[in-house]
Amino acid sequence: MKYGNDRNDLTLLLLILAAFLFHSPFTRWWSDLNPPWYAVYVLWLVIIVLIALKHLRSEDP
Amino acid sequence: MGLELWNLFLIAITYLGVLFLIAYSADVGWLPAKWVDHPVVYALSLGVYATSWTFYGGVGLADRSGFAFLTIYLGVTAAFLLGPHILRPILTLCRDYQLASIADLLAFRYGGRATGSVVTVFMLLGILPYISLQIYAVTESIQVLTRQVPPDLLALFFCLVVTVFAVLFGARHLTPREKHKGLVAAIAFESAVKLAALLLAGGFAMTQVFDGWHAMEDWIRANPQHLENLYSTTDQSLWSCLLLLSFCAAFLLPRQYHMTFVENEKPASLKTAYWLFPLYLLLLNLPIIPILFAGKHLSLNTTPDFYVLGMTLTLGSPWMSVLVFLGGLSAATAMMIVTTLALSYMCLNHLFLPAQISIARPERNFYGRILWTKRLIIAAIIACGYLFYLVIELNQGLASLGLISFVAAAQLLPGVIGLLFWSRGTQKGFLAGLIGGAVVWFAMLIVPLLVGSVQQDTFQLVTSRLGVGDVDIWSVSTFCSLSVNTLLYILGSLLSKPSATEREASKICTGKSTQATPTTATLPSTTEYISQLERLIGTSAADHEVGRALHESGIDPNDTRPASLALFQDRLERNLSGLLGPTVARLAIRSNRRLEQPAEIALAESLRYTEQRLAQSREQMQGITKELDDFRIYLRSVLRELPVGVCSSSPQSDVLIWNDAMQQITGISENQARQSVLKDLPTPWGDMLSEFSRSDDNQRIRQKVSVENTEATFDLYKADVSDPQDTGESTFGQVILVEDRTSVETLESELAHSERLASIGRLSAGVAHEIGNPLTGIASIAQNLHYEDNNGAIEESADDILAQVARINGIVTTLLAFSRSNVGLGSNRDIVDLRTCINEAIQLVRLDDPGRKSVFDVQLDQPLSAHVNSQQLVQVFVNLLQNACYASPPDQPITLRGQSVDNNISVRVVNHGDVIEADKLAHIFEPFFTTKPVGEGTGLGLSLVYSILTQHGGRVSAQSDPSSGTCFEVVLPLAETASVTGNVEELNVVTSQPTDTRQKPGSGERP
Repeated sequence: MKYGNDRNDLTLLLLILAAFLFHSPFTRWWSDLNPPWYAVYVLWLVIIVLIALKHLRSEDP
Repeated sequence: MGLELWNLFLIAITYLGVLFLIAYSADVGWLPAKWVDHPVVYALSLGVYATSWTFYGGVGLADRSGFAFLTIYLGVTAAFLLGPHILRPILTLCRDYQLASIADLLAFRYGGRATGSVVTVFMLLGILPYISLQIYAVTESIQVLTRQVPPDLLALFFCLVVTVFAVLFGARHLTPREKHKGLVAAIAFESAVKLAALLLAGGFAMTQVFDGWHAMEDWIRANPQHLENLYSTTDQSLWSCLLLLSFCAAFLLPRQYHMTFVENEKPASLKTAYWLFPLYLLLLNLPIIPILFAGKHLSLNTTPDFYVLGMTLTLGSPWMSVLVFLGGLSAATAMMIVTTLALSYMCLNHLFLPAQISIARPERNFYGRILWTKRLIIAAIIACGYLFYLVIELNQGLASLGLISFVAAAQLLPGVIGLLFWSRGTQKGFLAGLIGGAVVWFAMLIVPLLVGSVQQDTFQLVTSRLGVGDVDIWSVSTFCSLSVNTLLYILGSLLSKPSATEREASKICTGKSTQATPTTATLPSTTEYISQLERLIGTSAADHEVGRALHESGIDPNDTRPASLALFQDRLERNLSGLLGPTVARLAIRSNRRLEQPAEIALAESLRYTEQRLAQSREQMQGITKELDDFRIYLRSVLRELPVGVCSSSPQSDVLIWNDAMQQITGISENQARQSVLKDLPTPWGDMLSEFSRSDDNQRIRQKVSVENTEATFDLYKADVSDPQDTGESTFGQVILVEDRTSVETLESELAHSERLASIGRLSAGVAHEIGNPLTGIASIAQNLHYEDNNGAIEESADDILAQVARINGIVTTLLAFSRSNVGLGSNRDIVDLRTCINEAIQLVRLDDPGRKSVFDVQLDQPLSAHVNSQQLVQVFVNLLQNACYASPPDQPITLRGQSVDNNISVRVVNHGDVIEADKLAHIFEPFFTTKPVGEGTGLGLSLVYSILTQHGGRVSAQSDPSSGTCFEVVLPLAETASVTGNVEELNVVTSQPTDTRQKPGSGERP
């Protein structure tokens, strides 16, 4: 049986990951590395793919 | 090089015409519904978020603020990441209560008209800068392309064109609900055009400006300061501020609320949008950096906002310029059309109609008035945007206008978060917070915009005195306005008491209650609703709306049952909500309540609604709530799939539950049944179930019903359901079980016939023997007749012959009657003296070999009248006596005792054979259970005895012990016609030796 908590935990984990990547001291760290201009898009895409995987695998409406 | 103005004009008009064609095609069904309703189309339609600010201003913002420009979209991604917890509940509320605007939503939670009006006025003010931004962007883009015509004139012309198309898209005619399939299709198409234009522009920058990817990378390495500038803003306050503002804008801007919630055709589409819309935004922003670098590389003379146009013009690519212009035009027109539609709806339903209701002046042409009011509001909003465009001084780029509106929309965040998660919030608190935040917003962002000279100096003076001199204006204004807003909201709410309506709404919004409010009718008849409405919307409109609601709910106009009226009122209110908004609709219908109903009146509807809400709220359930709901679903499935028909009804006989078996038995669908009361169900079910429901019987066995000219048999059971919330004696209704016995009865009939034929087979040897005896006698007498010359002796011989023939006839008649198949157990009954049946059974048993050797000790009261099927009772006693003969030793008599006891007849058949063990005795009446050796018994005899007696309202029991032998007791109800007092009469004692017995008349035996 699947529990709602599992899905909420996943949402929370994704939110923490997104905040870690885009709104934390880590953001300053990776931006100071002078990565390629598209690096920020790649990180954004990772978040979107994880959101998509979460919802595509979920049976909830 | 520039483009001709008239060329751009023709291209723009043609493009808008194509858009209108797409919208019209979707509206009239030329485009397949599966395309229009596809989740991808829905997700693309949310792309209205990306306006000309994104299309042109994105490059400018990236130039000024680096990668902070992406936070405008990262915040949206965060909002959609939290979609199941924020967007989904709002969508559910929006669909359940027809909340067609952000003002409707907040008015629903925070107590009505004042809230709706304040939110509408504030949103109007807050969005005007955003509309002027679109006008500015399109006008500037035409200026860049043509370098001619005064911008104010261009802006005016653009506003006129957009007004016409906004009316065509959203106010061409009145729709029963605020849904426009055509608009969704057109906006989705515009989003696709925007994406294609920007991606092509990005590709153009990379290939035509830089000669490919590697050349661009080389340029970046040669000019590292540009890349460093991009990454330099990630730790600034602006980064956090824009994340928060775009998070709010994702669902609080009127156009986003409209496209996300109001135009959502299928809730499941939102699940796709959670990831597809952020992906769309990512793709849309991917070309921004290459275009910015291309502009820097070309050292373009235009502002960075219009690098995308300048780049194509500089490289002499008119088609690319036109494509980019169309992309920008798409972004601006889509925003203006959807925003003005959403705002016109808010103005109409929260400013104009409440005023009209207040003065209660019915309109002759109500629909026409509403339509034209809406059109005028659209025109007025665009005109206000144009005026705002004329008075502002734009010196901070396009993004500044958009951000002013974003900060305005963010003022709704405390109220909406409180709506979803804090049930203590009140209207006073919300209004105090909103007005406080709005004042700060106006003072810090609008005043400097209108009076440009005070902007920078005043701001820097204030921020430096506050010790945050290096913080940007957006962060300071957002922080200040939201802090004031939230503080006042919390304080105001804690210091005021929520009204009853607010308490109910807060429970619904926070998911603590699933109770629907429109469950009880307020007026006693449908004609009263016409009278109620015609005072507000005029006679013809009231007639039309009531007629439409009657038609859609399938209610008869003369139906005055409270449940039907509640259904009708619910439909009427939903229809009027689409037209007038929920606040006015509720006011129009419920302002004159004349019918007080107990809460359980619309129990059926309430239960149905509760189930719907539970199903929709499953995603939010956690822990024990989720497990309880799993258990509810499990029990529901058990009930639904039970192979016995289950129907439950409310105290008013409304059908509440109608399971699958019930649908199969009756052919009545669940929907049809649940919209009815028991007695109104189709024949014969309505009469049968309502009569049984009213009766005192708790069960009815073998109820015969004619279904489609075929007789069917049902067992009915019922029980009262106690109210789980009431400890008293009141009931929650009844549950009725219906078991279809038709096929079982047919099988039982066939079983009885088979057993009868088996008995005949066993008796046939005895028949041959018994008929042989009288035939031998007849033959002897006939031979003696040759030698008789005495007439008296001849007559005596003839009498003997006739007696023997009568005996044969009796045997044959009995066998024929016994073998005849009956239509069913317990049928064809008559008043019968059981002694006749027992005698007949003894005669039949005696035809068999064990029966001939047995002695029967019979003592029966006289008479033993019962209302039975005589042939079936003969079968009972034949089976009991055959078993007794088989078990009993030859020297022990088989005792039959019959007497009447307390209105019952008791017949006991006792033999003194082997004792039946207790464990076997418990199963002795089960089919195919036998104590006889294999091959000697079918195991059906006693089972049949049990079935026959049960169907006659009687019973059979068995006892066995060594002292008193094995006793089978048959009990049947005594027929009331008996008139002869019972005397014990010793009938006969029949031995196995015919020569030694005395047989009562009819035995035919001779010494």
